[in-house]
Amino acid sequence: MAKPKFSQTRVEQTINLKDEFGIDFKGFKSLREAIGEAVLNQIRTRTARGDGMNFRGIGGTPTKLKKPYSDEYIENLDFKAFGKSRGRINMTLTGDMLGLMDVKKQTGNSITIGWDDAEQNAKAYNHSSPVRSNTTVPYRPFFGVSKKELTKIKKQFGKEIKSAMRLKDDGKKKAFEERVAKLLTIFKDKLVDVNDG
Amino acid sequence: MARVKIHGLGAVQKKIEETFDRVKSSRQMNNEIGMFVQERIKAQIRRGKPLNDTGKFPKLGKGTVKWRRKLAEFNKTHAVFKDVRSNTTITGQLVNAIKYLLEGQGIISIGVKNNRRVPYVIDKNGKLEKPVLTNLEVQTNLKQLGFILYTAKGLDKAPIIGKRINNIVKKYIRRAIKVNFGS
Repeated sequence: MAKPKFSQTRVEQTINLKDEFGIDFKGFKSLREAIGEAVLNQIRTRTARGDGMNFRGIGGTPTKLKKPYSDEYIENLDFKAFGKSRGRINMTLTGDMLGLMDVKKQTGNSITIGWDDAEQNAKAYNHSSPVRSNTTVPYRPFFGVSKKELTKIKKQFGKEIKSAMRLKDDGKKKAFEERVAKLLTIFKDKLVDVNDG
Repeated sequence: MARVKIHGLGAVQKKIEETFDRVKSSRQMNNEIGMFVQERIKAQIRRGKPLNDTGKFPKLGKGTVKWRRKLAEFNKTHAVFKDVRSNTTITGQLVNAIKYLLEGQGIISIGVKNNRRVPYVIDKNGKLEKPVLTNLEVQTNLKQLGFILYTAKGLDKAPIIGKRINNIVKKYIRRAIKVNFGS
C-alpha cells in the first residue's frame, strides 16, 4: 500500500482500491466516494482520540500524538477563543484542517485524499512530515490511513461491494452513476441560501 | 421494519432519491452545520474579528477600557477577557447566548437568545447595574457602535466556512450512498 506523500504544496495519499478490496471499481464513482469518506472518518476519529499514525515503517504504525501543548500555545488568544482543552491533543483548533480534508481526486480504481486548500495543506505538512528540518511545530503525524485501518474499512463495505458486483452491466452502471451525479448537483445548488433576516 | 431487497436498477434509483430527500432534511446533518457555524461565530467574536477574518472590531475608547477594568474587579471574567481587548466580552454571557435553531426545510437560523442578562456587580459593596438589559438589547447597542457580531453576508464572504459546510453535506451524501449500495 502506498504511503502518504508529504510536500509543502501537497500532502496526500493515494489508495488503490482494486488492490485493497479485490474488485474493479471502474464506473463506481459514488462507491469510491463512500469509501473515501470512510477513510477520512477513520483519520478524523483516530485523531480526535489523540492517536496518530507514523509511516516511517511499512503500512503505518500507530503512535500517540505528542503531549503536551506548549505554554505559549495554551496562553494564545485563539486557544481560549476556540475553547480548546489543554490536555486533549487532537489537531483541532478551528477544525479547518481536519474539516477540509477531502477526497481530492479519484480515477478508475484509486482515490486520493488530502487538501485543495493551500493553508490547510501547509499546516498538515508541518505537523505530519517525517522530514523535520523546515517545520516549525511539533511532530504529530496524524495523516494517512494504515493497511490495518483499510482492512477494517473493507469489512464495513462487504455488502456494498457485493451490490456493486451485481451491477456488472456497463450501461446500468453508467445510468446509475449519472443519476447519483445529477442528484449531487441538485442538492449542492439548493443547499446554502444565505439570507439576512 | 421490513427490509426490501433491491433487484432492479429503477428501484435502486428510487431509493437513492428517497435517501437524498432524507439527507436534505436530516436533523443530524443540520445540527452539525448549525453547531459548527454557531461555534465559529462565537470564536471569531472572542478573537475580536469579523466572521470573514478580515479586519478587527472597533478600537475601545479610554472610558470603555476603564469601565471594563472596573467591572473585572467585581465580576468573574471570561478566559479571553482583557480590558483593552475589543471583543465584546467581559463575562461572556452575550456570546454564550448565541444559539442556532433548526427551522425545518433545511433552514438554520442563528441569533442571540433574548434572555435577560445577569447584571454586572458595579462596586465592592455588591451593587448591581441598572437597568438590566436583555442580550438582544445589548447586541443592538453594540451594532450602533460598529460591532457587527455576525451577518449572513459575513458568512457569504467567508469561503472557508462555505467549504466546511459543503464538506459536512458531502459526508452525509456519501454515507447515504453507502446505505443505498448495501440495500
